[in-house]
Amino acid sequence: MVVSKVRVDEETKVLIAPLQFLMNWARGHSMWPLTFGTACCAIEMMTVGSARYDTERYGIFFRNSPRQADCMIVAGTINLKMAPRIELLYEQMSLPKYVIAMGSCAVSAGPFADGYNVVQGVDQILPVDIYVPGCPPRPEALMNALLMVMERNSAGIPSAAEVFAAEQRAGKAAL
Amino acid sequence: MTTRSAIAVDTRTFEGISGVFEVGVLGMGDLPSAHTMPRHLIDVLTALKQERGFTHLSLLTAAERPAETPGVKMVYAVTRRTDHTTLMLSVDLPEESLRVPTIVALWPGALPLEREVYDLFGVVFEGSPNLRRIVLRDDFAGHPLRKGFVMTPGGVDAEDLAWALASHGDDGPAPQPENSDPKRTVPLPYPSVAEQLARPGDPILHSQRQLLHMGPQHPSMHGVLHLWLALEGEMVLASEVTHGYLHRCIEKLAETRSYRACTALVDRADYVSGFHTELALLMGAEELAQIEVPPKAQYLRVLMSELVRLTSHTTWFAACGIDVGAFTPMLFSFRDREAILDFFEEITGGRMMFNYFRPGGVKDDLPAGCADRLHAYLKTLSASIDGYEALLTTNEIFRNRTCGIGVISPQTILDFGVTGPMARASGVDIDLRRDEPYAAYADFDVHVPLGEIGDSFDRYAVRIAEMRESARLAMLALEGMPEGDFVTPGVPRAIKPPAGCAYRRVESPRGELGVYLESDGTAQPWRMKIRSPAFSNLHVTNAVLPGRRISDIIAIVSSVDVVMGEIDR
Repeated sequence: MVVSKVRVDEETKVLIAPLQFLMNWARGHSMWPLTFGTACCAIEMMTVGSARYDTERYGIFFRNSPRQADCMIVAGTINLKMAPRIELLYEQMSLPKYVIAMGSCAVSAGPFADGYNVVQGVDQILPVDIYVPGCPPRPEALMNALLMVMERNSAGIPSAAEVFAAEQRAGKAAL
Repeated sequence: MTTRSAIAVDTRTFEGISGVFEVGVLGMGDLPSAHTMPRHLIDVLTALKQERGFTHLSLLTAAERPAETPGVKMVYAVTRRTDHTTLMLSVDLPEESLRVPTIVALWPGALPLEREVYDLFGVVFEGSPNLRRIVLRDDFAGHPLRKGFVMTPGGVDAEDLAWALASHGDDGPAPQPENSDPKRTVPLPYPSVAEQLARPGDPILHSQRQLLHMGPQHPSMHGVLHLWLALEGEMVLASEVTHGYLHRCIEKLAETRSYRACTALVDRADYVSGFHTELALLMGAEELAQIEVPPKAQYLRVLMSELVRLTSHTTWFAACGIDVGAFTPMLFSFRDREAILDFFEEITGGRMMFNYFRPGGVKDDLPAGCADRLHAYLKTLSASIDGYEALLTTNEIFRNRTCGIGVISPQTILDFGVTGPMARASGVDIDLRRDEPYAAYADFDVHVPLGEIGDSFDRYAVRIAEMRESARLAMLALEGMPEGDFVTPGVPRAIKPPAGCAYRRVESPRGELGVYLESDGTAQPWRMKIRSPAFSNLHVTNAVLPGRRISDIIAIVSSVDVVMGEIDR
């Protein structure tokens, strides 16, 4: 739909495209996730950036500040002490922010589901785009999730955060 | 070889100390044990420490007493390093008076351990300088490890979550006025953040003191560590470790799981070296249930322990480099980590969460041909480690960042119960693999590398030397692998050990990792406590960081090798 609006001006040979398309095109080739590991999955998240998997070849480059990040990988268990902090970090990111729930704990509290201190999955707090099951998921699974996020972005599909923001504006916030 | 420990049972150690009764070995595994009263506790421990040489506080925890005598039992374990004897001491506290004197004056490292017992059991430590919650939120209601605290199936509901999101649940650094009588309060063993902030800044420089929160989201905080820092300019005046952002109720959940299912939980406690926690847990369970372990399984346990030590140290090496600004070391060390993880996947089925050790042995034998390939790989590891060293050991920036930074004296090591590579870097010659051989370690001659002055660089050098030693031991284990069963036949899936307690320790990549198990005769443990080495190692930074600059914080904390899963449990 947006792609059809891209055209080359015959006279000047300049590519003319909507700004949103260009933004998505750029971001789709340089998705910067936030370095945010809470638990075991963080070690597999580190592995994704290491020599064997090397996500940097896709332009996936971990950033340490939420203000520079496009995507948050929630890699680990979230408990009642961490929950307000993760919400704060999420609010510091700018739209479109993607959230990947990595591992059983972030998906549904995993083996700690009955615990007195463990949040039942990060989707209780934030709108989640992609769920990656596994305890912990293999690095390939996380890479697949990151590539899916990039594909969605390039295709102009709004992130869960944007959908939620639109719902909030319309007065039917669900979370 | 049996699971029986080499520790001699000698109850005479308690002779001549007043206030001790019921001396014996009953009810406490095979360790010499005794009971005492709260009013005698300080005298007994002082006598043990100062007259009998039991200078290392290995364990401080609590357990619920049986339903017919409601209350809490405090459990202490102290070790004499000269002959590697460990004593257990228990104090019964009735429900109406859950109070016991603090032992912070004897061992400053007891302070965070006592805070944990206060947090999870509600025991009040009289005279403690800082008695506040440590892993749970300050506004949490109840003490979850009491049996009266029932977990709701399905865990935290929406109402609890809404309450949690409404505030940070953290009162910030403040003196603890409640429960304290200024005359009887033991002084804090390190500078207090709240007190340092209350004082005025330098009048000549017109500087102001400020509070800085480092973490829980910080690229160099190894997960979710949080430091409160009282700063004046670049100088750290006081620091306090704050954690609990990864408290996942492992000890409470273990009370609802069978012993075999518990191994899956404890794998996730120390998630970079799962085998060690599994091993300590199973050594305790096998001790309680009197299960023999065949020699081949013992060798496989040694092999796996050493391989996982290598993966843990390679992860530390990556983090250590990144923390001081060197990214390349990670690319090198994760290459070897991946190679070992491939072997783990082949042998156990998992890359990080193994669930491989079983009561009475291990899950499976090595696959065909695996031993030869593993041996051939381990031979190449020495050259890889030379490559690591070429990156950092002689690197001028790295040396400037770590040499002479964060020196820890042997006395501080002892006071705070620091163990493992951190203690060895300060010249404290301890290693449980050599001192109290478990599994098949008695068949191996373990070389223990030592540091000289105990700075961050020594801690780095000791771990590098340990990697070489681990590769050597793993090769020896492969070469000497006996024939026979890999698991004792006929061990049931759900073991039901008779009532009793056991405390078993292993040398994890971070130090003395112990599991205290109490059985009430059912298939689930009555109490399981993980004695976390990183917990004690981390809290020593409160005493080391003051007087350093901000940039040194990272160099010091990264040399601790923090694993938050094991610290918060």
